[in-house]
Amino acid sequence: MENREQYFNRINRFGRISFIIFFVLIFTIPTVVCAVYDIFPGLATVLKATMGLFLILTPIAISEIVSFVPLLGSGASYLTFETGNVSNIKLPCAMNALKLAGVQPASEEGEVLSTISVAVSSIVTTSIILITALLLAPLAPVFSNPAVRTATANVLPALFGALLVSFLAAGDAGSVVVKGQWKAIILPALVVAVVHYLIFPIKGWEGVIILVLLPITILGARFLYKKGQITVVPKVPKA
Amino acid sequence: MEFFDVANGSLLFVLVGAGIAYVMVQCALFMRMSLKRARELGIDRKVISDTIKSSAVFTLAPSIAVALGLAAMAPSLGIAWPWFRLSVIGSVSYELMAANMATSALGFAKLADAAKAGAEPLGAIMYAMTGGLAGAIILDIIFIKKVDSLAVRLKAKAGDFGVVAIGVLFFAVLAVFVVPFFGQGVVAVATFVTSIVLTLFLAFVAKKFRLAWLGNFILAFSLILSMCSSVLWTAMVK
Repeated sequence: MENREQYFNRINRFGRISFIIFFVLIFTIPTVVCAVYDIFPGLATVLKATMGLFLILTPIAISEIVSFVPLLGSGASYLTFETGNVSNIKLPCAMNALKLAGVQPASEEGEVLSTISVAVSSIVTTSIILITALLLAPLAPVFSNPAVRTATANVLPALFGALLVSFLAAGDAGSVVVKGQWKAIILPALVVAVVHYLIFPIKGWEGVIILVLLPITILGARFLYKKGQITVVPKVPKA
Repeated sequence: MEFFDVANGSLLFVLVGAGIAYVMVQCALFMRMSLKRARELGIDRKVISDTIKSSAVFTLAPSIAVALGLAAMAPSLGIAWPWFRLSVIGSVSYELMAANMATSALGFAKLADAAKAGAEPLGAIMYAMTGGLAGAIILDIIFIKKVDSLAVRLKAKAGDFGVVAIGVLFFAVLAVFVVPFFGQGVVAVATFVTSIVLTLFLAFVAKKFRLAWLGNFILAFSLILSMCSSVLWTAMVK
């Protein structure tokens, strides 16, 4: 059996190589299309159109790497960033899986289970999008139905309401239980409330705000831990 | 050559299909490696099977929102390219914005205007949407391993507090997404509160009646039911 480091190196080697191939692949698609149809845009046009997006998406990527990789582990991170829909599907899905299994992120078990979770999630999402693409015409009345539009427009409040309860309620972390963990959300929530409602709306800046909040959240938790408001106790086996 | 001749042409479908197939194979390979590792670590088969089932069910409802994104993008960009972007690398929250930003940088007021100008804008839009993510992909390739390794080391070094620190990291994400709901109107708040109540209720039912299977689907059921409740709240607000 491989030790942890050997497995870690192998999954990262595989992830990096497959990501490099993926990088080439995504540029191949527009290149082949433009070559076959002879519709290559000018370099200046492409640069002008790309620059704005690049400047928005790159800081978001930095924030996602710093914030989400410690939670997901390497294997799940490669898959998550490659298949997209990170904060609305893959991250909550993996976190839910770890919570149900009672294992912590940044553990060997957590790394393995979050990779399985994200792989399954990616396959399901891709299948649903494929079905939609194939049935777009017959499904058009369903998608234009006001009730369906309302329900899907409210996916985030529905998702994060459920996540909030399950993450604040439990402190199960493998062989130990973290008690009073919920108190650690008060400080980041206050910071977001002050910034969002009194300074500027954070829509579009979520990635940057998460990046700023990470040290604040950990320092706040450290303070509560030192004061005995958050404690780590061994898990008592069920009788 | 017209915009939609290319956007809905068989060539783009074949290329996009191949790209998605590549990523699906990768999912399968990552899964195989993880399943093998799970067996080596002695993780219970039931835990693995519950992880697979709960992840599949959990993903259904948010995926419908992504499918709706495809339906929204298809009239402006055809089916193939949005299909690719929403299946791979893209996010339903950013894709339409990305397409619109690329279009406006090309000098068109909206996507529909670009589509009237022949096939050439499509090439530029596809390149721009891909190039916009180039920095992100390069950073992923370089830093995922480094950040993961650092997190594991810091967690080990911090002892018991390491467990707390990793546990509260996700709170930063929750705070950023949850707090703004309170300024998004009655329906968003009501849906959010419904989701909380349903989650608590289902957790209570699962515990009280010892329904272990329900425990794995609480989040998925709460998500779907509270999304449905938003229709009711919208009707009541009107």
